[in-house]
Amino acid sequence: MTSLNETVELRRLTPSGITRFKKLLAQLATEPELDIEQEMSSPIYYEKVRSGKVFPAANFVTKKDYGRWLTGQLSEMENVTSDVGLWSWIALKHFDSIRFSNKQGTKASRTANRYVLDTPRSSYRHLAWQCWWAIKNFDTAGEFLLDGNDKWKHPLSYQGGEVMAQLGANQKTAGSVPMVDFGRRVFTSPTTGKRSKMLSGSGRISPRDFVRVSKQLYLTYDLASMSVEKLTNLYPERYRSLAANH
Amino acid sequence: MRRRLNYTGRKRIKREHFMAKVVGDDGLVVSMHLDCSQTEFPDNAIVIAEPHIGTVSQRINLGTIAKLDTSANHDLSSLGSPEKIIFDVKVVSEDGLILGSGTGIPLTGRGESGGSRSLLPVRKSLELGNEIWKLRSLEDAEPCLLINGKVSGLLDRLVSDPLIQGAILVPAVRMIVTYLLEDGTPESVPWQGHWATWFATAMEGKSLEDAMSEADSDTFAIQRFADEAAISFADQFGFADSLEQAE
Repeated sequence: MTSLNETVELRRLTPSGITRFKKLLAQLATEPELDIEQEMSSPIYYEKVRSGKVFPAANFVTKKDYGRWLTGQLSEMENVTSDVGLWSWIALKHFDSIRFSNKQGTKASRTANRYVLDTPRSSYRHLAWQCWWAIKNFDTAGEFLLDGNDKWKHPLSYQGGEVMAQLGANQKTAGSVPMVDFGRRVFTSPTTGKRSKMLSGSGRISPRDFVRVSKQLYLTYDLASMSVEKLTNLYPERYRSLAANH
Repeated sequence: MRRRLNYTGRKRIKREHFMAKVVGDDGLVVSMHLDCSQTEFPDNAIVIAEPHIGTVSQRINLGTIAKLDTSANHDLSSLGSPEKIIFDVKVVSEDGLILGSGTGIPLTGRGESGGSRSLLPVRKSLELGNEIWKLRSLEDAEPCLLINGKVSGLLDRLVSDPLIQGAILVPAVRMIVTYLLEDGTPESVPWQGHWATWFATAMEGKSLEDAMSEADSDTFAIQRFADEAAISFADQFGFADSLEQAE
């Protein structure tokens, strides 16, 4: 379980704060013990958010919880989707929780766009933005995008194999409620609701192949306006049979 | 060369038939207009506009062909910079089949006329860092020259100063022509039409299609054609000549 221990007033990183944060993230590769929060303590790196909004203390067990919490907290704010300073501040505030960790549980930083929002092409890579985006846009169906390994030591960090990596990068094609719901039916067990092993593969039935087929269909059909049942009938048998089991 | 099949007979919605324009003085509020009088669609077909930036998109339902509702304005502030927003528009049957579509249609700015057609529209951008100019991604939409909005007076100089024009526009034209010669078929590059017309004029009648076949994906041949087109462009406007005369 991870937590944000204190109530804090919402902030935004200034351009100099963003530059500094990126520099520190790069430094982490060679200095993993670097205290980012300490290094970012100067007030010149922050500016107030006009709404005066505060983030209360909170606990998150999964990415779904985190997404739901962020969606609630930011619901009254306008134009947050591409607010680089805000999302970078959120990632900084929650850095210890969302920081990338490998299979051994060792924390690392990886690429800066996991923490500093890189609009517009790579927003989905941002570890806080992606949780917010999935729940805000798809609600319960969006939880599927954030499904990860339950046993992962740091549940909010990047684990690899999340569906978000495929669908988030192809929002025009796959980013609609029926498509996400269809994807959930294909890649989760109809009995237990648990994610299928095929989610982390790259073979004949995999998120990558699913997106490839979807892109082809997208040229001819408006996938976002179709019901899941209609979508099911469009796809090749290998996907049709999996979805039909639900 | 890539080929795309259109086996469902999907009709093309041209740029001149759809316009999305910034209205008002605050934020990024957009009005849209679609003219379907040139193309026959069923009355109950649904019209959808999809403004997008990179991987982030919105979906706006504009009603049906019979009851098209473009009276409302739409706030696109959450998408970010207006210069990067491009529109796809679709006419869709009730069962989801796309009957007509238009892609890569740029947002028309305040005071611009959607009816006019500039070969290379210019937009100010505050996201170029220390770069003075760059071309917007040619994969997303028709060419657009982005100039750094932080540089004071750059737009004025681009309009009036042959030195700035020659230094920016000639390499930009070379880049666009190179891109077209690599795979500039109408199917793979929907915006190539008026550039293909310009190319044929600049190259004394040699069509873009002929140049593509002749170059046959050979890098050096493509570069040679792109150089010829860029030189022709520079000669047409006489950038260096006008500076020589000025001295």
